[in-house]
Amino acid sequence: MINNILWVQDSINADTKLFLNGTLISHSDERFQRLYSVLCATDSDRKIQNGSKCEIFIQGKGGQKSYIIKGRYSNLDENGRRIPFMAYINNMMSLQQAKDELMSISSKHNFEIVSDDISVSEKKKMNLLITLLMTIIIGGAIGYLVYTCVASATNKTREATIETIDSISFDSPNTK
Amino acid sequence: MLPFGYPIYLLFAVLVTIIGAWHKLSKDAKELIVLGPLASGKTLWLCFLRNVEYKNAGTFDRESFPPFTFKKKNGDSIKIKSGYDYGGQEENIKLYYEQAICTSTPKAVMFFFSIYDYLNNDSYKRDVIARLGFIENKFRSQLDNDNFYLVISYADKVSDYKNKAKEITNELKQTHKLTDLLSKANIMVINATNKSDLENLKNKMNI
Ligand SMILES: Nc1nc2c(ncn2[C@@H]2O[C@H](COP(=O)(O)OP(=O)(O)O)[C@@H](O)[C@H]2O)c(=O)[nH]1
Ligand SMILES: [Mg+2]
Repeated sequence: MINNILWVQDSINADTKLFLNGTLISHSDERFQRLYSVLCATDSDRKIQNGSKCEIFIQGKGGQKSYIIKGRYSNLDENGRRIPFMAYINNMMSLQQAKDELMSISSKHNFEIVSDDISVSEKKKMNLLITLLMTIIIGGAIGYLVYTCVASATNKTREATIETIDSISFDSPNTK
Repeated sequence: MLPFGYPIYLLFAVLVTIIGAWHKLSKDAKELIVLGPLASGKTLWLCFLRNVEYKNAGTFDRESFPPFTFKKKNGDSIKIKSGYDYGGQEENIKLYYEQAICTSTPKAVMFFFSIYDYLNNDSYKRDVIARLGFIENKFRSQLDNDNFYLVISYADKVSDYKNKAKEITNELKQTHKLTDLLSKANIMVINATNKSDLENLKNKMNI
């Protein structure tokens, strides 16, 4: 049973490390490549766009979900680069729970998450360009609706007027 | 009086503009595939080319970048499709190298490695040779149409880097039989932390 997978690239001079449920899996282990691809296979997952610096993906809906989180610790490697990580966290109720779990797994290996890098809101934060486009399109649609309503109302009044004139000119018995 | 349903025209114009811009960007855009071991300067180069800030940070499996255009000194501009900045870890070879190289879109494949580590670290050297072998195998049939760049970084860490780079490429060709790949390669020796070296590399790009 996979509870969690953690991958880190903590040194330029050594192999990357991959932990399955906390146990180090060596690169020569036949499971290594398969576990690594679990972390990478996010193309068909739902990505949470909530303004987080980390990339966050969700698998599954409702009660028990799994999360894949990719980002960088505050810890630095030999070149002063922030150390990248990827984590798969299974059986979680919420992003908050997944974040807590990730922080606790990471701290066991002395890695530290920057808390602000993972915003726990699962709502989508729209970016500026999309907001702008949506405003134009929705604005255009509302403008169109208002315009057609006003236009058809004006048309109706005009028809009514013609009818009245018609009825006077043809139907009145007093014209002759 | 306004013509019938003028906001529809507005909407239409907006859509046409968006689709037009998208089409113009995606038309004749090329692929740029940047490979190589850890800390060899790949992300530095991609950030420079895309004109975005380089944050001193390692790359996880891969990070996507949006389409972009870069301009050379001679005035040519080259459009690049959206793609990925790949991490240098060896587990990415099996997972991503082949699918990145073997597509039909015209492309440049670039391979970065550190001349300093190649000369001073045997396992690094073996890793570089293995990766180049893998790339030669997968890329051989495309070498007539696509460009291959061998970018040797960390020139600033090795005195006499020009001669050393020559020796290394000869060794790769002769001892390690990478003739097909290297006889077609554009070879550059650079310091990837130096903007003017990156500028030179940019001006050499042909896709
Ligand atoms: N001195 C020197 N340092 C380099 C060179 N190329 C890369 N580096 C260092 O390596 C680090 C990682 O570079 P990066 O582009 O992120 O490597 P990547 O793993 O290939 O993406 C940078 O912070 C630089 O300090 C180089 O040519 N010379
Ligand atoms: Mg990188």
